[in-house]
Amino acid sequence: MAEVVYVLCALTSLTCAILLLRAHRRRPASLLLWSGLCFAGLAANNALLFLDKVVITEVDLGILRALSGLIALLFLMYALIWDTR
Amino acid sequence: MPSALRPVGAFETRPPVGLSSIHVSEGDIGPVPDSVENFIRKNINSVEQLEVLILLRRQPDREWSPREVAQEMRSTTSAIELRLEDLVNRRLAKRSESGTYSFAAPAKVATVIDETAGQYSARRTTIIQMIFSAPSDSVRSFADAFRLRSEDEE
Repeated sequence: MAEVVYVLCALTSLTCAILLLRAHRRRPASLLLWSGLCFAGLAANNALLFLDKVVITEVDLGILRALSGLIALLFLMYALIWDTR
Repeated sequence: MPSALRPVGAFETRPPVGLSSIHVSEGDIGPVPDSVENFIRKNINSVEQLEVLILLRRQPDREWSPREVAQEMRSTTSAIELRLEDLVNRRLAKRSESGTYSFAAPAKVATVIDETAGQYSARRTTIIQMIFSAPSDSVRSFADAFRLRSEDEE
């Protein structure tokens, strides 16, 4: 059951990333770019979670997961706080 | 030839010649049509942008340089260039290789723009309020990104 949730979270984040980056390609806007990159990072975070808990159980990928989540949120923070043109 | 829209003060424009003597109250002409409201919410984020669009629409075959539009609008060339580029991105105008701009909306959209120009002429305050009450462009773009079908297909 947990594995299903991890996969669904990764797919949802990936879908959001694709939709936002597709919209940015059609009509460039920085909020679309950075939020798309944020969701791409969250998709990577969820994929690493799946790998960590289901596939590669011997190695702890906690630091990689934390880093990917941090980078994803930094993208979003940049868009909302600094890039407010 | 008198310009279609002649700015009088910093934020005021005079309606086209011939229409300023007509007094129309909101009770006489009913609510703003949905097509106009949707068009404004989707495409218009400033009064200046609307007036540039109306200017291009009045002479659809003419090619305008940003400087000519700026002179007509009594605005700065750099601000007008941003408005014109935004209209090009929205497929309401087109840019030629020589850097001039002209009206380029499809016929169905041109009809809505004509309606919008009429509403703007008749009830300026309402239209201006509508423009400024719309969510900001970036927030709207964010929300529109999650539409799986574009509004044109609906």
